[in-house]
Order: sequence, then structure tokens, then C-alpha cells
Amino acid sequence: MKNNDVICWVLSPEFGMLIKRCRNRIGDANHLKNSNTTALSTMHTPLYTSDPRDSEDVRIFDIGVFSKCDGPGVRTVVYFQGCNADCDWCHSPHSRLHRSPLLYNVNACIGCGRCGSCENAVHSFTPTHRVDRSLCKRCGMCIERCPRSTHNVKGSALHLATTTMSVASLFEQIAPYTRLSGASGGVTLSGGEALLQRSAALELLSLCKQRGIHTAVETSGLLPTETYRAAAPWVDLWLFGMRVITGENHPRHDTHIDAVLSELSSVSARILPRIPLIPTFFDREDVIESLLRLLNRYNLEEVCLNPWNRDYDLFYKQSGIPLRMPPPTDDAIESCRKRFASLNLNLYENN
Amino acid sequence: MKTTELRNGMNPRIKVLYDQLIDRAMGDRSEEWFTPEMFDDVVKEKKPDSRFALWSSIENCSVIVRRAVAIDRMLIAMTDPRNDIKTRTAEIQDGDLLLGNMPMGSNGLGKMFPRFLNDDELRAGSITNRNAASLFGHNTMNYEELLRDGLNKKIKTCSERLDELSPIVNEGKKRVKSCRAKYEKACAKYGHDTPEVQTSLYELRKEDGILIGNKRKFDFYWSVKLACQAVIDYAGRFADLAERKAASTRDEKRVAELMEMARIARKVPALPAESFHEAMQSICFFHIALHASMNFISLGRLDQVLNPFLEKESDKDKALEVFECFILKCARRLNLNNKYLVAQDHVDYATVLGTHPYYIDQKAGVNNFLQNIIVGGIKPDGTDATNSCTFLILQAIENVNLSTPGIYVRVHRNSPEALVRKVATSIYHTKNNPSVLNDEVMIPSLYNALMQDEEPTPEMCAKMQELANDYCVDGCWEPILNGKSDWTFGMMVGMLAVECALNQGASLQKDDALFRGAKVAPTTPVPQSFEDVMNYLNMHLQFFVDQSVMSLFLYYTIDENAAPSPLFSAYLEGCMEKGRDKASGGANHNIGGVVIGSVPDMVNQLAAIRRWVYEKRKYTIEEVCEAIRENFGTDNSSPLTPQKRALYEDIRIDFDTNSPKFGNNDDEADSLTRKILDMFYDCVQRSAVFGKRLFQDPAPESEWRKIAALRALAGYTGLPLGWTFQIKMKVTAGIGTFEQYNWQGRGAAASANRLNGAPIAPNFSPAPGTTRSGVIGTFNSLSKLKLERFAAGVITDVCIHDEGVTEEVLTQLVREFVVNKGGMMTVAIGTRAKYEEIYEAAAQAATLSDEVAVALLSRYAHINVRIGGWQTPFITLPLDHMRNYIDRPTTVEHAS
Repeated sequence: MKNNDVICWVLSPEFGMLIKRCRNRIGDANHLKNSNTTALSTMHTPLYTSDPRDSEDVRIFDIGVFSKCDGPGVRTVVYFQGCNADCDWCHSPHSRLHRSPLLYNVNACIGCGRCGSCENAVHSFTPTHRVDRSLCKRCGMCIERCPRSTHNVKGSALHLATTTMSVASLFEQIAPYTRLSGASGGVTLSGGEALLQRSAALELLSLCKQRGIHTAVETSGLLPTETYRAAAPWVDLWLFGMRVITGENHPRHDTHIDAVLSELSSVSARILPRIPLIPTFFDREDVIESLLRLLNRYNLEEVCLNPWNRDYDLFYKQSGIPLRMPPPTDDAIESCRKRFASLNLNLYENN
Repeated sequence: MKTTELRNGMNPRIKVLYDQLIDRAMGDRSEEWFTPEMFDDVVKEKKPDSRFALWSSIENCSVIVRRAVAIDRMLIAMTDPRNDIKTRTAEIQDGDLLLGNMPMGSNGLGKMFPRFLNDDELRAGSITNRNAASLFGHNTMNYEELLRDGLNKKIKTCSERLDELSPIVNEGKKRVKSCRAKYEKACAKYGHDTPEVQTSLYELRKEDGILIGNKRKFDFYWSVKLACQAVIDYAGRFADLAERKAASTRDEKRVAELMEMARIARKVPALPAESFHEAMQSICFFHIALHASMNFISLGRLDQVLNPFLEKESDKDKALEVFECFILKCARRLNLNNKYLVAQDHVDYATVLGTHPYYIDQKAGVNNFLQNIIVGGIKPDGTDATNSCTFLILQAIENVNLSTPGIYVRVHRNSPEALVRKVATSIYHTKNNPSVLNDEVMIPSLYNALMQDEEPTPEMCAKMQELANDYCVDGCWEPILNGKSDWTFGMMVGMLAVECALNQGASLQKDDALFRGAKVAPTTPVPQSFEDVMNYLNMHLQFFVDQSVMSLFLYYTIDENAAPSPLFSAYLEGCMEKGRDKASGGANHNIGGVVIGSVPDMVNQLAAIRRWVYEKRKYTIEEVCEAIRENFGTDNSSPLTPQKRALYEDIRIDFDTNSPKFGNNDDEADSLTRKILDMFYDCVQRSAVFGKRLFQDPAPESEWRKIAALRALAGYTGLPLGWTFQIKMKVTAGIGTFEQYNWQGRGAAASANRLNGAPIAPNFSPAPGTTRSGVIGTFNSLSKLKLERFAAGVITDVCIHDEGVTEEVLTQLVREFVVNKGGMMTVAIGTRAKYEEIYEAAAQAATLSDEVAVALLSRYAHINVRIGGWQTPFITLPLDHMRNYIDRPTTVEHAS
């Protein structure tokens, strides 16, 4: 528990429920002003660090295969549902909640209006297709009625992304792909924040390790050190998503991440810091200075730059979650890239 | 040898030849086709063979002899400088290391050949749709003997046999003449139908039968001799051309090359080959001769045949270069511009495929030449067959990356790691080659097929195991024995049987002149349960399989009189020993396959019907049949009430998106697939027994008349083929569509995931757009189906989105396929966006000037895809085929 953690309770307009969100960004207040979420209170409370409904089953919103961007070799990536980081630049905002809101892919929609027969009036046509997710019970009837949608198939016009299954079943699904990836690849737990579903994540990691599969976990470093300690024996590589640390505005980041990195370093785990190329956030000189200090402290010589995701706004559009930041210009991205390239770091970029 | 020792990519010589090929292929090739006036007309020719002048003129010779003469005429025409102005068949391109050129021709555009059938034969063949163009191809050469012995030895053998037979035939003629005289005398003396006349007639027929048998043998050896000599002469003429070209060439290096090529052409194929270059030239001449004579025969296990020559070769890069020249030779007939195809349409009504008028997808077959190379696998003795030449061939194919010749790699559990990696590397770089044959499935399936009707003695088992171990595929993907079997097959569309099961034996395609639809099978009741549906499906499948199997036997009653193959038969095991052409049952092994298409559509349709009609009872079977007949209400001109239209739309959505799908590791769909496959396989076994009883096996005396009556009812009144041709047909089952999925779909009513007349699923692959659980989901489904019983082949086309695909992933993909017991696999790597881009370009090109269109399309000339039976340049596909491909790339994603 960190006293300086800043948590806000926000009302999710889609679900009419209160959810906790960590404010871990620079200028949260400004960003909140621009969002449709309503801040109810701001208080110093413990960071949301585990899923309150954690169970034996695992909730995921996607499985990616043949990824070359999520660890060494070719990776099978399991995207866990639920996240406590709430990054402005997040490109899968539907992963933040316990379950993904109904995704609506306007490009696949043929405008037949069959989903308008929804008993909960989620879909209306006035005259364009509007989706009121606050009324959605996730019954899936609209998907069944839609000629362009199939349950559990990505790219459908309507899609409920979150799937719940046993860890054993999940492993059975991904195991063939790990064979395809070969010895140099492996499994990466991503999200969301995978370790929020701690027991499921650990079970999956242990299954992988028992079969000699290389494991990587992508994390924001915002979970309790104890969680990382528990997972460490099963993790070959930590893909450490660096925060915007300045040493001033967010003492939680500095101290907490420092503690987490200290914990992971003590167990000789391999850590690969990953810095997203987000102009005006990560290329601020105070941020760069803080990051370099941190990297030096733990002798982290290799750094991975995550390029700006060109499809950043895709799931905002599909989920109805408002964008918090506009996409940066190409020039801004390039400038950010050049700034990092000028540093004396062993950098490589995911493409 | 390691693959890393070989050159990656084309060297300057090959690149120049490649560019010339592509340039030519992008242009108008209609002028390059042979025309009838370029040949001497065989049937009018009056030059009897001086030594064996049994008939007064060639016109009176048997079909097979006339055909052999026609082969010679064709090869002469190909080196005639007057013809070469247009056909370019006598050309020696700068830099080329091999002599000989293919004349224009393809599966989809047809063939040109000197006429050798007379008017009566053509008229008689009109009822069976068989003539010279009916040559089936679809077989494979084993070039081992040709390279080892040369054609001269074959000719010598023929001459010896002819010398033996000549006096026998002459003696037989005398006997027949004498018997005829006795018979005529008896007729005059005793009148017809008297015992004396019957006795003399019996004697006459007996002697005549013996004479005909010997004449057949004589003509066979004669025709083989003529055909083989024609190929030697063809090579000799090219040697002359090379020497003449050398005389007018200044570049000394090139002069030396031309003189060496001339030397080789004077040696092979007449004599045994000694070097790799000689071996390739020998194969090249013979392959060209086969294809030029309308017989599209495949190349077989070339790595096995060529490796001894490669081992002796010190300059491996030279060997690679020669092989690349060979690939370019084989690909010489490519057409890459759709604008110029109509003028090249030379397809005859009787071209291939059974006794029906031509009905295959011509446009899809424009660049199909039925020429595959098979590498890897195991040897007849069961040991791994991978060798240095395996890698050389794969490297050459990878470097040149053309759609033809096709390349298949046989892979098994213990295939060397390096081979699997090389396969993956080649697929990665070419995006479509090679295709994979799984020995773990194909060998047991062929072994079991070969053991049909055989006593399982240890000797027989060992013999059949050796044959199965040595299998290869023909010009598409049908498994056959390596130069040891004659193959024929029939195709059927399973969806028609499903429609019949639902619609009382009638098609569900709407026809306003009919009540329920076209009656294509026996009437069955309206199904009251899903069990009923499956029972009726079984009955209709049996009906269609019976038709198909009986037609396999019927081929053998016709083809020897229209389309014999003396050149190919010379090297098909059994023919020379028996003195019989393959069309007369000369091959030691005869395999006939029944290949069913649209199984994935059958599964999707039946799974939906089970769920929504018989389990959830949301719709009645009558409503579903009506919806299908009305094309799910999508035709706005159809007078339907809004309620009905809404109902049909509901049915369509439930069928399309809310039902289990084939090839997605869905237990419900997979168990249904297994049931359908069991049913089909059992039908083929039953039909095989029935067909053999009718057509092949001599009946016991007590059943003779009954069987003969049945045989006549089936359209054949002759003696059992087991007697006349010594045929022992092994009937096999297979699953796939070849390139026919668009064409066959036209005859199928609407079903889950497709509208009326839309393409059926290609081969044994998920219908485009229905892959929900990635390639692995499909492999998992295949693993449940016991595919090692489908000896006529079962092939799955995989199209993977290129994002994230690496050589390592492809390596493992091949391994997974083998382990999961898929039968055969083709892989195309592409993206929906790229295919859409080419589709748009192709549509646009049709409206542009030639020059602009060529510039636009040539950017995509290197992109090849699999269309069921073969690889083909994507830009040459008809637009409907392109559209079908656009939905195929799967990102190998899992359901979320």
C-alpha cells in the first residue's frame, strides 16, 4: 500500500457502475476534464492491485499468435482482461474493465437494423446506428441476430470480446501455437494487466514452464512487489512498460517502480524496459532524465521502444470509450523517436 | 550437400531468361499456337513403314500407330523454320542451357496436334465424347529407365519383339484367311445356322481373335518404336540448330556452350545420360515430346532420379543453373494477360474428364500444364529419401518462383530437420511453394488401397508396401504409383446429395418449370428427423458414387480406340512386358479414384439443419428447403411476402453465423464431418465391389448371363475387363475439388455461407471466411477424421495472412500438419488487402490500353496462389476466383 497512490472512482457510462481507476498520468485532472467519465471523488487509497472477482477461471479478451513484438522470437500473446493502469495512450481501452463493453465495428455493419430488436434497447437508429452500452446485459442476442457477426469472432460487426475459460482450457488452446513458435519463441501474458488475475496468471505461467515454454509477462509495474515475487519463478522475461516518471509529480511511480525493479533484480529475472513513443509524455526532458537514472540503477542496458500504434483509436471507436488524447502528428512521433535515438542506450524498436 | 552451398536468387543468365519469359507471357500469344496447316495430315499420308508394311497405308493402320506417326509429325513441325516464325518452337534463346521448346497448350486453353483419327472414328466417338483430345494426362513418368538406358535400348527391344511377332502375325493372317475361306465355303454349301457353319465360324473367330491379339501387340511395339525414334530425331534436329547458331555466334563462351548443347542433344535421349546436364536434357526432350503430343504427364520424383548425376557433378551451381533453365522451359507456355486468352481457346468438346462434354473451369486452367515435381519422402525400402538433389530442386524452384512446374515435398515424422526447414524457407520466400504431402497419411492409404482383392501374404504385403512407399502425385494432386500405375478418376459434388436428401431426390435449385427441382437421384421421403436426413444422404451418396465408379471402368472400353499413349506407355511399368498400351490395360496397376467435393459445405449445411430444424426446432425442413430454393430471399425480384423474406433471412443468418463450422476444431462439426467421410468411404467400397462384379471380374458360369445383362444395362456389352485387359482396378476415395470449386458451385443451391451458384469450399478447406480458430483449429479438426484411408488424396489449402509469419513458424506449421495427420497441404501467404489490390487492378486492366494494362499487371506477375489443383499466377485468375481468394487469408487468430 502506498499512501501517495491516487485513485479516482469513476462512473462508467456504459455500465452504470462504479469502477476504480488509478490516476497514474501526468496532468490527470486536465485529462479527466476532457473525458466523459465523471470523477466522483479523489482520495488517497490503495492502488487497485488485484481483481476483486478473481476466480479459478481466467478472463481474456484476445489471443494473438505469431507476434514478433512481444518478446523474443515468435510469441503467442494472451491478453488478459482488466487493467489498473488507465494510460491515456492505451490502444485497447476495452481491456480496462472487468469485462469488455460491446464492440461495434461500423465497417462491418450493413445497417440491416436486425440488432434493433434488442429487448434492452441497446441499439437504436436515429437515423444512424447508436449503441447505448449502459443498457447492455451482454446477452449476445444482437450478435446472434446480426448477419455480420459470429460469437467470439473478432472483426464481427458486434463483438463481446471478453471470454472466460479455465486456465487448462486456455493452455490447451495456445499450446499448439507455442509449438509453431518454436524454441526461440514462447508465451507472453499481456493485457490489460495480466497479473491482476494473479492466480490464473500464475497457473498459466507454471503450465508453460512445466512444458519448457519461454514466458514473458508484460506489466506496468504497478502491482504489489509481493505479486511480482510470487510470479518471478515462472517468468523468463519481464516486459516492463515504463511509466511517465519525473520524480516529482508522481512519487508513487518513482518509489513503487523502484521497489518492483529492485525485487525483480534480486531474483535475477531478465527485465526489458519498454518505452512507448508518446510525444509530450515520454520525450520530456525530466521524464527522460528520470528514466535514465532508473535504468542505470538497475543496469538495464537494453531498452525496447514501442512505436506509436497507428490504430490507436480503433477500439475507442468500437467500444464507445472516449479518447483522452488526440493522435500525435507524424512529425511529433518522429521527433520523439529521434530524441530517444540520441540517447546512449542500446535501443531497438518493435515493428 | 547443405542448402547454404547453393545460390539464393537468380543469377544474371537466369534473370534474363526469366524476364524474357514474363515479357512474352504478358503479351498476346495467340499467334504462337500451331494451326492445322502446319502439320502433315496423318490420315491422308501414304507412306507405309517399309519394314513392317502390314497395311497398305498409314490411314489403314491402327489408331495407336497413326498416333505414333502423328507424334513424329508434331515434333517435325516444331523444328520447321517456317512454323518457328510464329510458334518459336525451334528457338534457342541466348543464355539457355537446354534445347527444345514446348508448343502452346494448357489444360484450360487446349492442345493442338496433327489429326490422326479418321472420319468414322470421330463420328463414332461423338456418342461417348471421346477423341484424340481426350488424352487424360494425369500420370507421372519415372525417368530412371530413360536416363539409365536411353531410347535406343527401348527401340531395340521393340525391334526384337516386332521381329518375333512379324512371322506370327503373318502366319495368323494366313490362318484367318484359310478359316474365312472354309467358313464362306460352308455357308455356300450348307446354308447359315447349320452346325457345319457354326463350327467353321467358331474356328474363324478363334483364329481371328488370336490374330487381333498379336496385331495389337505388334502395333504397340511398332508405335513405341516410331514414337521413341521421333524424339531422338527431334533431339538431332535441335543439335543441328545449336550448331548452326554456334556458327553465327561471336561470343566464344556462348559458342562453346552451344556446341556442348549440340553434343548432348546428339547423345540423349538416344543413349544413357552420364552427367547432370545430359540427364536434364534427356528429361527435357522427353517431357516436351509428351506434352507436345497432348499427353500432359508429370515429372515424378526427380530428386531420386537425378541425385546420382548430381553427386558426380563437381559444379553444383552449374547444376542449379541447368535445373533453373528446365523450370523456365516447363513454364514457357505461361499466359499472364487475360486480354489475349479468347483467341487462344483450343479446347475441344472431348477434352479430358470422362464421357461428358468438356465441363471444367477453363479460365482457371489457363496456366495449368499438369507437370509436378515430387521430392523428399521415403524410398521403396522405407528409408528416408531426402538427398542433395532434393535441396537443389527446392532452391531452384525458390529462386525462379514460377507457378509451374508445381512442386510437392513428401514429409514424414522422421524427415530431416534440414528438409522441413528448407520447405518452410521456400514457402516463406515464394509465398506459395512447395506443397506438402504427408507420408504418414498417404502411404498407409495407398497401401490399404493396393491390398484390395489381394491375398495378404508376406510377399504381397511387402510388395505393396514398397509401391506405396514410392508414391508420388500427378499433375494436380492425385496420389499414384511412381511410373507404375495408370490412373483415372471421377468427381462428384457432395452438396447435390445433401440437396437430394432434403428434397426427395431433387436439386434445390429453383426452376420455375419444375415443381420441386430437377430430379437427379431416386426419390426418398421427406426427412422427419436428422437421422432420416443422414440415412437419405447415404442413399444418394451411394447413387452418385455408383455412377462415378462405373464410369471409371467405362473409360477402358473406349480410350484405346481414341487416345492411346505409346510414348508414355513405353516407360509405364507393365506395358512393354505385356505389349499393351496403357489405354488397353497395359499398366501393372490400375487405380481409379472417386473424389468428392464440397464436404466442408455439406458439414456446414447439415450442422445448421441439425441445430435449427431438429434440435432447436426454430424452423421446419420445408421452410428451410423453401428458403434455399428462394436463395434465402436475396433475390428482390422474387415475389415473396415480407414475412417470408424475413423468415428466409433469419434462416440464412442462423445458418451462416450461428452454427458449427467445418475445420474449426468444433467437436459438433468435426463429428459430423467424420460421419460424412465414413459414409462416403463406405459407399466407395460398396461401389467398388459392385463395379468390379459388373465390369471387371469374370463371373462364375452360373451367374454369367445375369452379370452380362447388368453390364449391358450399365452401357457396356463387352467381355469383363479382367479378361480383355487383365485389369485389376483398385478403387479409391478422395476429397477435394481441384480448381472446380467455382464451377461446381454453380450447380449447387444456396447453403450455409453461400448463395445459390456461389463457389463451394475449395478442396478440403474451410469455406473462405469461416475460419474462426486459425490454422491450428483446422489441423485439429483434420486429426479427428482418420484421413489415412483416402488414397485418392485429401488436400487442404491454407492461406495465411503474412503478418507475423516467419520461417520458424512455417517450419512448425509443416510439422503440426504432419503430426495432426492432415493428408496434403498447400500454403499461400498473402493479405486480403494485397489480393483486393490486384483484383481492382485486374478489373481496371480490362478497360485499359494494352501497354498500360501490361505495366499495371506486371507488378503482380510474381504472385502465385493455389487454386485447388495447382498453383497459378493470381493476375490471370478470373475475377470470381480472385474474389474467392480475398476472403481466404486467415491471421491464424484464435477466437477471443
